[in-house]
Amino acid sequence: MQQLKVTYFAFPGRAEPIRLALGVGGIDFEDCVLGPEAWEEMKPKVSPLQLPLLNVDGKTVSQSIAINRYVCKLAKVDGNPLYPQDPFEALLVDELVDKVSDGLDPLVPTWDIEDAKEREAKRAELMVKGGPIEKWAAHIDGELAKSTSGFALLDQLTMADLYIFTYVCFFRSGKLDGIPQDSFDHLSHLCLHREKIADIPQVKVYYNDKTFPAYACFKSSQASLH
Amino acid sequence: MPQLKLIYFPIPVRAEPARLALAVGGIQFEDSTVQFQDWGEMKARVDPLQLPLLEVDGKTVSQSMAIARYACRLAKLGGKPLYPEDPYQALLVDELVDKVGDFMAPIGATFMLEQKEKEAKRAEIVAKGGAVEKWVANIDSVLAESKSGFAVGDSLTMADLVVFLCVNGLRSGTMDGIPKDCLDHLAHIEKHRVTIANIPQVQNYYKDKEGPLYAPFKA
Repeated sequence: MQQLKVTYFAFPGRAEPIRLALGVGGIDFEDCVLGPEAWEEMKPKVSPLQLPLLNVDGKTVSQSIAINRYVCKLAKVDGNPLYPQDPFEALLVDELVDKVSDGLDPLVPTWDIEDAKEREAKRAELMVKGGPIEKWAAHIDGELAKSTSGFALLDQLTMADLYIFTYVCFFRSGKLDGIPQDSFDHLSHLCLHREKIADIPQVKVYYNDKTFPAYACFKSSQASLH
Repeated sequence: MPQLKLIYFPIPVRAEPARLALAVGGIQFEDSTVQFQDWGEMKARVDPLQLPLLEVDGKTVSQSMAIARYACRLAKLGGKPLYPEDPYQALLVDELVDKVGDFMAPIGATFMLEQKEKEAKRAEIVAKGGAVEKWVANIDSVLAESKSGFAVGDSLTMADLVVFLCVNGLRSGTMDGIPKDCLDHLAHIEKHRVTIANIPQVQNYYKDKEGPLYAPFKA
């Protein structure tokens, strides 16, 4: 197996599906978490590279979805790789992942708004019913409604489930000013999906020891595994 | 082989990597074009659908890069699929494809601007060291290192098609503020463009395509 190292910030953002895939797949990796000072030091050297980065046997690669697709080919849960080998099944996963990944885009410009009130107001606009982020979440909710198994696609855990789970939990974390934790409570399939994924034993184990505050909503609401 | 129908406007842009892959691989597909005047009516019926769409044995799928990747899995040149089966090689292809998508996004944003501002913004991002030029220059240096002349590995991949599309879009002269010669100083980019354009299946695909958007793709 290749030597893998993931480099990203502490919070569960764009690297989270990658870390989770490796975690649930039982694949050893070095989780290089960047604190503010480490990032300041790194910035001039890696510019214009964006995080997350994956190091594979010494070679550094960027682009979160590309990295994710790679690790999901390596990671298996109950014998099934998280990324399908069949071209049409892979197409369905890629389609949904691209849709889910787009969900963060409207939020990105708000990081640069310095005034807290203005930033919260802008985010509230995105989250209102019919706003770009709410609409995105409602669409994903609609896709999940089509599933009989509760998994997003193919009646098994795939990269698409990890994306939906981590992105929804990120929005629900309560750590984004202006985005309340109950923002998606009206979307029942999204809520059920979050519970389902959080309760998967390998997922439960992965989040069990995470103490960083933003991870609270990623944990199963059932008793933790010890 | 599944029954394939690709639905898009009669321009290269978002459907071209898939169309090219299918053409290179000699895979039959229905190239279904929607005229711009008909799109408004269609959009009212099928929101939130965005083009391109691919119908695979009657099942409709969206997302241009997902569609292109699928087409590249099916299509082979010289016996090698355009999307590598080896996960690490595929990672390198995906990385380059996504990088191109990222750095070309600011150009998409300029279409909304008022004329003077549009031209000024575009001129800035394609000037030497500008947001787009520096990334294309980066790909130029990757190509310089390539023994095969291809962007990743030793055969044609989705990465080559995406670079080819990006470069020809910038060279088309159809975007005010972006001069046709904006990439002429990048020798390996030009060499790559010529290599891809001269692949017989690519040459054949563009043979009957007319108009300024398609002209730069011809050998």
